[in-house]
Amino acid sequence: MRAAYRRWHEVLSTEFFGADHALRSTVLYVDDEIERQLAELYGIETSLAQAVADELNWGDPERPLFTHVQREDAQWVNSGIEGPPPSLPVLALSVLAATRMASSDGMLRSNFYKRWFQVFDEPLSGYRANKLRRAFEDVAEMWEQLDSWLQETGGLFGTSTVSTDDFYWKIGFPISQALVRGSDRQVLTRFFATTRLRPRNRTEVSGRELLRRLRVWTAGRERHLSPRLMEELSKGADTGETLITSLLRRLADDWDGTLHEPEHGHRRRALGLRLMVADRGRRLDWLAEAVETTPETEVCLPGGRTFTLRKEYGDVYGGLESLRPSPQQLAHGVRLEGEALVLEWVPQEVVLLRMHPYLGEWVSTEYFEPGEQHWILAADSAVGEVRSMVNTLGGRTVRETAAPTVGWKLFKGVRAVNGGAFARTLDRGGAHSYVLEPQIRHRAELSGGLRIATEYRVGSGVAGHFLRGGGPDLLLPASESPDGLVEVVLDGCTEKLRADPRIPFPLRLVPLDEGEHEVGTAQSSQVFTLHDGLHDGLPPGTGMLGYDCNGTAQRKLSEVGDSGAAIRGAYAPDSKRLPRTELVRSDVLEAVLIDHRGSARRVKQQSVPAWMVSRLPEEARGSCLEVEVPEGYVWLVYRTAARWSVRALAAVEDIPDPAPSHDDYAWAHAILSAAERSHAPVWLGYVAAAEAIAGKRGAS
Amino acid sequence: MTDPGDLLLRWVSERGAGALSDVKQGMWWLASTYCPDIEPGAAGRWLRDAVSLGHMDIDWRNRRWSAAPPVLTRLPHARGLAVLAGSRTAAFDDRLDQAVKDGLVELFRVPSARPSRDIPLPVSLIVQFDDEAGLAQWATELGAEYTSCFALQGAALLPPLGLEVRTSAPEFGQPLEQYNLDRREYQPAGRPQGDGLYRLKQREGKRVCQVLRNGEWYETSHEEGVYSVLESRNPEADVLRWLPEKDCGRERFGTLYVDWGYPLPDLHRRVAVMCSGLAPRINAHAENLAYDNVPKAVAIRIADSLGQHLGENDE
Repeated sequence: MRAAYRRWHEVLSTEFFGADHALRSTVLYVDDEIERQLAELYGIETSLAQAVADELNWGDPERPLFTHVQREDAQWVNSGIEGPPPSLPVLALSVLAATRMASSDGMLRSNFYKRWFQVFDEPLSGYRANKLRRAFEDVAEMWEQLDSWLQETGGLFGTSTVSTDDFYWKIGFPISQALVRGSDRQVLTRFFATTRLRPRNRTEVSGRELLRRLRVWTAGRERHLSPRLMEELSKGADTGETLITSLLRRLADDWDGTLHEPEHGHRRRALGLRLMVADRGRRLDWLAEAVETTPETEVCLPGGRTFTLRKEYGDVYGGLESLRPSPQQLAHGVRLEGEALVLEWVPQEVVLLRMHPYLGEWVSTEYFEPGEQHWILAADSAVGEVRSMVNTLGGRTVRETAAPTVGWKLFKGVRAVNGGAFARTLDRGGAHSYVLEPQIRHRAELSGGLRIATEYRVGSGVAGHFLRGGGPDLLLPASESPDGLVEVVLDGCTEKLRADPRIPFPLRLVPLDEGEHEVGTAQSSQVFTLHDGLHDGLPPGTGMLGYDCNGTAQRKLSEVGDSGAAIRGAYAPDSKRLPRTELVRSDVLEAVLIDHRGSARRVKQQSVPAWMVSRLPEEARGSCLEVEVPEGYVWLVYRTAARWSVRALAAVEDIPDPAPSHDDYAWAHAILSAAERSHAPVWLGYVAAAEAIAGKRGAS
Repeated sequence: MTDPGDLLLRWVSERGAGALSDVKQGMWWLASTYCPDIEPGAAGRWLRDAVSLGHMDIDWRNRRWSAAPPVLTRLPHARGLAVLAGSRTAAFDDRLDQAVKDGLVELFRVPSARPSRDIPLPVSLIVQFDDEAGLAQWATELGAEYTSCFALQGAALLPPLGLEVRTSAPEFGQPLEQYNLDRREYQPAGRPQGDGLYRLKQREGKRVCQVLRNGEWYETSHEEGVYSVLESRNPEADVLRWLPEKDCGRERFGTLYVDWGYPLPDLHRRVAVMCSGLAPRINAHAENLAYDNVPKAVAIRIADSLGQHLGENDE
C-alpha cells in the first residue's frame, strides 16, 4: 500500500471519524471542493482518485481489482478493528463519484457508474469499465463493513448514516453519503428543531413523514440546502422507502437535539418556537417547549434583549411574555440564542394551529389531524388560497376573523370530517395545501381514547385500556398498494375499511365487546382492551377531596379521606336540623297540620312551579304535595275528592295528650273531619277533645 | 352509552381521581369528535358544572380532582323530587338500572341544556319519592350516601368571605394582570396598582390569583377574589339577584341570577344547583346565570357569605 493512500486514510479518519464525532451521526461527504481543501490542508500532492487508482490490481486477472485493499482489510479485522477500516479512501472516492452525478439525469444507476469510471480516468465501456463495475460489489461490502464497524464501536467514532435501498443497493451507499454535505447537516438540525422533532426521534417519526415536512419547510423559501439534496427532495417518490427517506430517518434517529455547530462544540439545544393564539383569538404569544435537562436558561435576540426562561406547567418555558409577536417577526422569523439553547421561528405564510391539551390555547403544529379541529393563521397574501382550500374541505362553516396582528387573518373551526372532500382538497394541491397534510405513518397506531387504567407491565404489548364507548382512533399507515387502499385487520377479520389512510378511523364507532382487541394491518397491529368499568365498589380516590366542616365549611378543598365531617360532592354532614317534610299525593284538596295545643295550620295547595314545567319532562314534575312540618305538629289531616284521612307525624308514644283552648274551633273542625279515619287510642283522645270544643260551641 | 356527557361522567367515575391535565386531554379528544362547534374553555366549563352538580371535587390550585361519592339528596320543596349526584361507575349504573326495572324507584333522566360551543353535561338523575325514610333506605341499598337536603344543609355550612393566608408579593418584573371588575376581565398591569385582584404565574408556572389589600397580599381563588374586592368596594353591587316564583304558595322560592364576571365559588354554586338538581341556565342576552328553585333563605345565605346584599328588583 502506497504512502499517498495511507495519507488519505489518515486524513479521512481524522476528518470524518475523529474524537469530535463520537456519538454523533457522521456522513462521509467528499466532493471535489472538499477533496481539494483536504489536499491543501494536509499537503497531499496525489489526488484521492490517483491514490486509490494506484492500489488497483489490473495486472493479475486471477485476483479481484481491490485485492490490495481487501488484504489490508482482512489484516485490520484480524488485528481487532482498531481505527477506521483501510478501505476508507475507496469509499470516499465512491462518494466523490456520486457527487459528480449530473443533475440533468438524476441519480440513475448508469449515471453513477459513468462517474465511477471517470474518476479513474477509464473509458466508459470495454473490459476495464466492466471490471470496475463488477468490482463495485466489493466496494458495497466495504460500505457494509464500515457500517458494522461504526455500530460495533458503539458510536465512539460517530454513528453510522450508511444507508441504501433495495433498488440501488450497491451504489446506494455512496449516493446516500453524497446527498448530505456538511452545510446540509447544519440546516437539517435546524429543520429537526423547527419541526419539533424529539431528540433521538423518540416519537419515531417516519422517514416519509420527515421528507414530507422537509418539503413543506423548503417550499418557497431559501433554506440553503445543497442543490443535490434539494433535487432529491423534489423527486416524486411517494411510496416506499427511498434513499432520502432512510437517510433522513437515520439522521433523525441519531439527532441528539443539538444544532450541528462544530464551532459551538455541538452543545446548544435547538427548539422550534411555537406561535400561540390565546384568549379566544385575541392575543398572539410565542411559546417555547421546555428542554427537560434545562429548567432555567437565558436567550437573547441578536444584539437585543435577554429573556430568562423557566420551565412551567405543561412543560413549556415561561419568560417570553414580553416578546410580542410582531408582523415583522412573523414575516422574517425570530431567532433567540443563548449559551445552551437556540429558539427559532421560521417564517411561513400559513400557520396551522391545534388546541394544546394542557394550555387550552391554540398553538402552531406540524401536521393536520383529520377529525380534530384546527385554526389557520394566514398572511393576507395567502388568504384567498386558504379560503378556497377550506371551502373545498366542506363540512361546517369555517369562521374567518381578523387575527390579533396586522396583515393576518384567522380561520377558525377547520376540520376534515368528510373523507372524500378531504382527499379532494389534498389532491387539488395549491400553494398551501401542505398545511392540511396529515402525518405519514409507517405502522398502525392508536391515538386519543378515554383510558381507564394504566398499563404497568413493561413489554406487555397492550397499547392501552379504554372505556367502552371511548375507544381510541386508529391511525393507519400510509398505503403501499397501487389502489391506495389499506386492509384493516380487526380481531382477525380483514376488511378494506377505508379508502384513505390519511383519516383516522374512530374505533368507538365499531360495536365491540368488552375485552381484548387487536387492530391494525397485516404488517403491524396494536392490542387494546375495552371495559365498561373495572370496579365493583367505588374506585380508589373517589371522595378523596372535600371541604372539612367544623360549624362552617373550610374555604379550601383538601384531602379528607373517609371523614363524615366533610362536604364531598352532594354529601353534607348533618350539622343542621332540617324541618321535617311530609308528602301527600297531589290530588289532595286541602290539608291541615295539627299540634296538641290547639293549633291547626292550613297547608296551601300549590301549582307546578314554572321551572319544573320548563325544565322537567311532564311525568317528572312531581306528583306530591310537600308539607313542611314545623316543630310540635303531630297530625296531618287531609282531604281528597273521595274522603278525609289522618296521618300521625310522630310515633304514637311521642304524641302528647291534647291540650287545646276552649275556642280552638278550627283545630276541632279539622280533627272531626277525619274522626272516623283512625282508631288509635291517642287519636280518639284528640277526637274527644275536639268534640268537647264543638259541643261547647253547640251549647253556647 | 354514546352521549358524551354521560360517557365523560362514567369515565371520571371509573378513574376515581387524578390530575386535571389528563382529564382535560381526554375531554378534549372526546369533544373534538362529538362537538363540532366546541370552543376553548369548554373542558373547564364542563368541569365547573360537574363540580356544581356534585359529581366531582376539584382542587384547582393543585390541579387535581376526585370523583365524588354517589349521594341521594332531596330538592328543597320540589313536590317529592330528589336527585342522585356523584360518581356513576358501570357497576353503580347496573344496580340503578336493576332498581328501576324492579320498580323500586321512579327515575327520570333530565338533560341540562348547553350551547353548542360546550361539551354536553351528563343527565341529572331525578328520583320521585313519597316517603323520606324509604328514600334514605333505598339510597343505602343502592350504595349511595343520603343527605337529607344538600341545598339547605350546604347553605348553612357556607363559609364567610375572608382573606386569611398571607402570601408574598409578585416577583418584580414578572407579568401581572389585574382583574377589571367593570370589564369583567384580566388586563395586563405593569406593576400592582392599588388594592385589587391580581393574576400571576408563580415560579413553578402555576397561575394563581392574589388579592392586594392594605399593602398585604393574600392567597385566593378567582371567584373568592372577585367577591373580596367587590365587598370592600361595594356590598350592594347588585350582581346577585333573587326573584320569587309567581305561583301561588311558592313565594319563598325563586330564581337566583348571578351576573357574568362574578362567578360563585364552587361550593356556593353547588348549593345553588342542588336546589333544582340541574345546571344553571345560561342567559346569554342578559349575561347572567339563573339557578332555579332557590329558597329565599338559601339565596340570602349565599349572598351574605359573599359579602353582598341580595338584590330583589325584578326589572
